[in-house]
Amino acid sequence: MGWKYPRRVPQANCVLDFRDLNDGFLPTVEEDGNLGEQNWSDRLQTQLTRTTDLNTEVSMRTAQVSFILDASDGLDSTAAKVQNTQSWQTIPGLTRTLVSTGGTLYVLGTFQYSIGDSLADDDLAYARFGIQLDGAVFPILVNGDQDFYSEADGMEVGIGGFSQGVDVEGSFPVLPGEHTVDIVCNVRNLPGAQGSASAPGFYNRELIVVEMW
Amino acid sequence: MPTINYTPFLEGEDLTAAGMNQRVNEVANGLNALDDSSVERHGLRYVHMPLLSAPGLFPAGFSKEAPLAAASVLDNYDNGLPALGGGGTGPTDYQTFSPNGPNAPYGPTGAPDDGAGWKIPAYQNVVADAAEVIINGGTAINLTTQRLKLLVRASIEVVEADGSGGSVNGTNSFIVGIGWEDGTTTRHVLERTVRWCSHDAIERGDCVTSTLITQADIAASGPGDGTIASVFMVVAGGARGSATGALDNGAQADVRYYNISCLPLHAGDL
Amino acid sequence: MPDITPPEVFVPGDVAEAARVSRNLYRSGSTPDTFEVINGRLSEENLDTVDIERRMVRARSFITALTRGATANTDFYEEFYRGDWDINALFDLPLIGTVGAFSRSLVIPGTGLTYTVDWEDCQGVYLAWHIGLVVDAGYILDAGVLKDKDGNNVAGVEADNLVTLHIDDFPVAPLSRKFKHGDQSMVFPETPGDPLRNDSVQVDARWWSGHMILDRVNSTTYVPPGNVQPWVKGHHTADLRLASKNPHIRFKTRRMTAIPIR
Repeated sequence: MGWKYPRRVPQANCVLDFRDLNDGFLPTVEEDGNLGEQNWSDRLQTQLTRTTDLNTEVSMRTAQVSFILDASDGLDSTAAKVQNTQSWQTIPGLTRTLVSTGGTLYVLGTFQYSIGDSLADDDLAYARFGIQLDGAVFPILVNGDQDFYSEADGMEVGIGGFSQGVDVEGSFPVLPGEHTVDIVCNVRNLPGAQGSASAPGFYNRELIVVEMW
Repeated sequence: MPTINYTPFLEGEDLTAAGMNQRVNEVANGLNALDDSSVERHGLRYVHMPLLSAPGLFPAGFSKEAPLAAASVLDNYDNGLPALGGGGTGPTDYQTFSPNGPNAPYGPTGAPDDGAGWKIPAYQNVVADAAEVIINGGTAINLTTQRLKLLVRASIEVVEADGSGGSVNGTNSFIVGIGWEDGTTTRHVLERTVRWCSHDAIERGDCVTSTLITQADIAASGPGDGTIASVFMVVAGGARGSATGALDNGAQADVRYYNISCLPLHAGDL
Repeated sequence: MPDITPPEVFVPGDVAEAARVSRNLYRSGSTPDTFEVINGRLSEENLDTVDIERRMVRARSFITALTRGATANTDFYEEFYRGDWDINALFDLPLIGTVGAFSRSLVIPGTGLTYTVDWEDCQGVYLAWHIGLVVDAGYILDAGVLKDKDGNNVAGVEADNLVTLHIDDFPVAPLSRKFKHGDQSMVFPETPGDPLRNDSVQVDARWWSGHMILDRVNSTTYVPPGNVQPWVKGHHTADLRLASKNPHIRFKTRRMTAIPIR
């Protein structure tokens, strides 16, 4: 609220009325609960030691360090996997439901990714990765191609290769309320090419969500 | 509840010194003991707020990049990681740093360095150019005391690598990770940040890893002493072996530019 | 300011002076000791051991974020970069008249954004981006031998391109990447009559998920002193730019995020 002054200043040789006295105090009293930017001096603190959490965040991580080969499908049998379909699926563990006061979220999904165990497999199953909010994937927050090309397999759509570290991140506004954030994966077997028997596997992985304030 | 508890003057009340003092003190004491209920919702702006991180915590900045010259002569990293318990087979030891080469563990060894441990990228072995962000001038801090968490990201460009090869074809990899130095000058690697990047996949241009470092990660009950003095990137070469977890060395790579970003956040739990 | 101590304390028997009463209510001065402190002079000493909470603070007081991107394929052809310039020289070399890559770089649509710094005491800007691309160097696999479109054997995998972060039009040289040539072409089939294929171990799609913090320590390395630094209050631009001698580079999904921090 704006600056406050006594409504009535007691004057000498004037009748002293109880209402006049109260009017001297009440403008200040009434400000309590309404103190705003006009009432405070600059820079209340020199550092954020008395402040509680202002950039609230959620971070969940799954450490999966083992990264050895398995005889059956070439992946460590303890690796987290998604189905080798062509629909968006949440990478196991990289999902969080949170309550936001509204504003902007910055999301970073970071993980170790691997497919296959031989040259025959590693170039045939391509994966795209993205960020999904409340069931909808943001088109610009996808790592990988958007297009469903018409030519058989003339275009790389995502990431192949044996193993890679992947970061997928970006920011977006959210309304106040509950939201679910997922890091998702979409495997696309190329039409006309051999389908890969290997599903993508995920090892070390971490989801970081920061609410901007 | 608001903190100012004012007792209004009443009609017919005797006006006394005590009564006047009481009202004055009620308001003054309230103004001297305001709490969060006194503040209007969103009543404070950035001009009233301190900075995210205390001045002086990052005197060398939040970021470190390779020097411009890193494009002219490429560094070659030929260091491999040991297996736990030593040797070249079995589960990988992700905590050992190579003692070899000038200014180890900074910069390339300059020769094959199998099974020796991690290196911290530093162009031409110049420590000042290392992929490392120094915190608080090197005097370790407690993240809880500073109410901080650190969003750390590290990237490096691999230009030339061995390519297809390794015990299982195509597994030659450049391995990256993020570590920190504690108050006893001991270095640790956050193993969840380790990324194996196949040389074949590296052809796509970049190796990256990221994490959010919290006090729990550096806690004294864990591997560290509860404080943190710097964060850095670590690199090594290797190849996944057979199902027994054999780790080949000798997967070398030429690197060009690298950088590490350390973003301080004042954050709790959503 | 420290806690206030009202100047007038009444003692039984004092005359009820109006001036004394009003002096406690409001008196301006360099050190506030009356209720006048409420007029813009309250400080943390007046807050009695309370933590500042989000409810009390307006949004965008510490950190803001903005992401912009694009999904439609965008093509760059060698015709965009005609002329005599050196891909291996980053900057123009005035003494020997070499035109470098930076002055030839073109903004990659979808990676550019304008961000705003709202505060005078901004400490830095965190930038993060992602690009996906395919580099078509016009290679053909001829009887198992990789050749360029002129029929010459390709000696090793090269990268005749450069993507660089630019801030307010200034290049940030260490935040650049060269992307290796794809060993298959999008427009030349492996064998005439064959469908176009990518069937190699050397995958052709390239990615770069980059990041950088430009702060009060390092920004003058890239934005020369005398120019407005990227953390100064106001509007700034950040983008990725391409310089290329490749026949064809196609960019796919790409984005840029700017996060100023106080």
